[in-house]
Amino acid sequence: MIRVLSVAALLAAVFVPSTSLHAADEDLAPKLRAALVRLHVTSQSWERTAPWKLGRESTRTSRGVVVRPGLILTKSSSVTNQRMIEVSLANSARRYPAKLEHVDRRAGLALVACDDDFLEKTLKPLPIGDPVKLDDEIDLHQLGRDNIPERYTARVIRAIAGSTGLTLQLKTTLSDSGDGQVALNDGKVVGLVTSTYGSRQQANILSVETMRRYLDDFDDDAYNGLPGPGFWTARLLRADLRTYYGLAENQHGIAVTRTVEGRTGHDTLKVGDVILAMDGYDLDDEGKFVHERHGRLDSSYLLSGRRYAGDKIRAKILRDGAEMGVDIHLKGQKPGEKRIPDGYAGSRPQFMVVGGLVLLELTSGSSVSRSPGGVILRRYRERANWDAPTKRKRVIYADRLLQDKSNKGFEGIYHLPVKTVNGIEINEFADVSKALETPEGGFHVFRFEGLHSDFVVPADKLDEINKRIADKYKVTTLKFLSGE
Amino acid sequence: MQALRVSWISALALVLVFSAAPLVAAPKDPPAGAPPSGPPPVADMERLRASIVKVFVVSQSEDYRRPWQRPRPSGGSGSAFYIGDKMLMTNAHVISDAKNMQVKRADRVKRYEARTLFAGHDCDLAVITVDDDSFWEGMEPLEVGDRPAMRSKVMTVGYPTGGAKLSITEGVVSRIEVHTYVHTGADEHLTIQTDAAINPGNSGGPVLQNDKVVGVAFQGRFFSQNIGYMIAPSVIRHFLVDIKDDVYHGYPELGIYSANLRNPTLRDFLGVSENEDGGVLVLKPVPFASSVGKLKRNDVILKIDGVKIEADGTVKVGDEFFDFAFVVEGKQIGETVTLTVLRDGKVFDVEITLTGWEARMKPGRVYDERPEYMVLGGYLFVPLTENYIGWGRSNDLSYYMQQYYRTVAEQGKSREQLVLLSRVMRHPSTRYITYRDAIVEKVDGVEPKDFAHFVEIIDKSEKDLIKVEFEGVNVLPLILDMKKIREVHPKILKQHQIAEDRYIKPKKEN
Repeated sequence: MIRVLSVAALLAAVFVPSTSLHAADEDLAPKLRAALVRLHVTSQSWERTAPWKLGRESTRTSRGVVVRPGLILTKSSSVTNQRMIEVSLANSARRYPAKLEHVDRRAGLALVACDDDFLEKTLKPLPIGDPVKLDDEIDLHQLGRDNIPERYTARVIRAIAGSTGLTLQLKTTLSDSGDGQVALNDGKVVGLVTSTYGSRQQANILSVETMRRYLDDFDDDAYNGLPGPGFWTARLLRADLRTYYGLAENQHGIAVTRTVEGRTGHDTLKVGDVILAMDGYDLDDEGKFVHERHGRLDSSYLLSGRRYAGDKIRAKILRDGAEMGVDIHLKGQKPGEKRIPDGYAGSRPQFMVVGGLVLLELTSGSSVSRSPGGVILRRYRERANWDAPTKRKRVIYADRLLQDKSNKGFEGIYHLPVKTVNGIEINEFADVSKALETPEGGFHVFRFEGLHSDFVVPADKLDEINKRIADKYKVTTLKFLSGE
Repeated sequence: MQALRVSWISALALVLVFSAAPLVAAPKDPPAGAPPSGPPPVADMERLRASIVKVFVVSQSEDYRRPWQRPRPSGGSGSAFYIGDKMLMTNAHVISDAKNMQVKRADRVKRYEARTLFAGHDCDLAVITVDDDSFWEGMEPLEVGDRPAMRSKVMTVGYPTGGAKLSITEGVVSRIEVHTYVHTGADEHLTIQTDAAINPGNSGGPVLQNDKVVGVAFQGRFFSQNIGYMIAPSVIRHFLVDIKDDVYHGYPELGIYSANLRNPTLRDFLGVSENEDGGVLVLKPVPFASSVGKLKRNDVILKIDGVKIEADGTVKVGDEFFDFAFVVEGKQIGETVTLTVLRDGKVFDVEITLTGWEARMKPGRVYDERPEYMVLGGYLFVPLTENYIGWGRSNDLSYYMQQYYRTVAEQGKSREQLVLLSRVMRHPSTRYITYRDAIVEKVDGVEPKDFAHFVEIIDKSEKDLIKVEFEGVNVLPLILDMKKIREVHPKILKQHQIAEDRYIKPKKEN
């Protein structure tokens, strides 16, 4: 019995996670009550392989914080496929209408606007704080069960730089799933929780730098997006590569292995350059450096972690055996600027149904088989960031065939990239629409990459066939193209 | 499906033997022979006991990840039957990679040492012999018969798992069609399905009807009941005709990527006359195969050797429809086939001389061959083969294998084999260097045609630094520092107990 009690006591010590807000800071409490919200998001996604249909509806809750008058900052994933957003406030069960104002899935952030006068008047923004550093003690706040404000303690243990910004890892008592809890330091917002690892008592937050850049960008007239790293590099720990790139014993850095037209670095850097320093920091052979606030970080932080699109940074490079300085212009990278767009859920997929062919656009989220055509699509996807989408802007593929008497014999069509339609190269969806205006000798002829026969439809019967297929398979609309 | 050789570790398979005297020369099956259901094909038991033997094999395959050594040997057994001229027929998979082989007659106690004469891995047939003349006393060859009819009764004879003595089971022919032969995983030939029990150990044994061999038991199917497969008589005859000149050449490859022509709009588009209701569409000749230079995309093949091709790509043989390539089944390398082709509105005949697959990268598993490799310092280079993929179960490499065939098929590249940096062995000279199955794109600026070419480029280079580039996104080049490599090479060989640092197949003599 004693042992049982001891274990119970131990559990209690570990798992009593939060303290009531009222016990925390009496001055802060009313400000938090006016800034912390719970979001109730009803979402419904488009079915990927039958994109004329909506899937099942579901509702989930997440959290957000007011950072501008009438605007709530939250994680972008909280509003994925949103159809309806409602907001509830601290210590209240009532829900108020809201709507999605802006989302940048690459930054991982979204803004939800109040759609109710009372809500707009009641909510008051919290200021964005200064960046926190390793070992800083901060608080995590959320509206818990019954919308009661809760506070958890946390300490910054690591900073991780990625191509979308800086993430801070915390040791914390918070064990709920990470869905937009707010990190505060001195009453100012210093992060949003993106994920938690309860068993390790850890949580990740988006950093102040990322939030501030997103909000500044939003406040501007034109939204530029986060700067993208743009070019590819290689670590230079290996003796053979150090020899190959001509590094002296005391020189350290990373080699440029690829630049991509239109992206950061393409106009300045050349394949074979070795970047020795960037933005005032010397790089080591893994491309890392020691930051005064965040410790050892990857150099991607210098490109896309703290600067704005349009900024330029100074770099020291080794080219043809000589050290020199160059300016790297940071270019924004918006969703849709890649040949294979990120397969973020939320945007309606483009599609066309032609003679039973279901044509889709290849994205990083497309489900692609290991069929012969699927192999080609996988290859395109692997090279998503490697190739510049100069001429071929998108990859359009026949996902499958809706069978009909008109297309018998083509049953094997599955995951085939479309090469030409009526002799016109298909570099984006708009090309398909255009090509269908000029049949080839009375036929619409689809030619695929890989080994497959051409798919042929009689041009004068296409409307009739489409109608029959649409009726048979309940295809409510035969196409959705974002530009039309 | 599974091949049915008995293995001590895995499943068993058996052989049924029965034999015929003369080796039948006709390359094709006469249309279905026996009546739909006749009396059970009971044969003289004494004759069967003498002519159908059990084969004991100790085999040792190759280690494709450490090609300088071999895995431990394993034992197995199968069946074989006498076909005359001191030859026993069995499955190729029974005797593959055999290091020791013995055979035993059911009517004797003694085991006799045996050796392989011919192995046709593409059709999973082999012929073995025994040098001791006393072994052949009293044996009568089994004759190869015609293709059995659907529902006709057949008898499988052999030495399957579950006992030591000769086993006989009976059933009917339940299906006849072209199937993949799992031994190589890449070849397809006519296969006869029966519900007569065929179990591990039956492999290589005869399937009999009216005292004649109408099949050789060879593979089964996991998770199913009463489904066993035998090699069709036409395939057996093809093999026997092939070895008449004492060399097994294998099946020719017509080599066409094709598609059906069932769609009427596609037929209109291609200008196929309304009078024609058949034909198969050519997508592309297979590189290194017979039809290269003779056929091109969007040709329509209407007939093969005068036999009409249906719109689904089949030909009618007797009462059955088989893929049109079945017509080539009966032919040997060097023979011709005549295709009636529609191109640009004109119909004409094309005569094609049939050849084998000439590329060094074969689309199937190989046996009884040493793997090629080269150890260079801490780097192991190998050619990409199905065997290598199978050994490591690498999906990525299967992807590259597919990718390779797609590329050569589409672009007609001249690469006959892909070369891999298989792995990097741990040593201070290879610190931080990690590659696994990286496909070599260029060495010293040159795209290697095959593995031998790759080795030749390295051997002939006089540079101190040789750059090896790889396929894939952001796969870094490897810089071979030849001076350092020469220095550490012997030490690495010693560390890894590598007796030979390379094996390159001798070049074929023309």
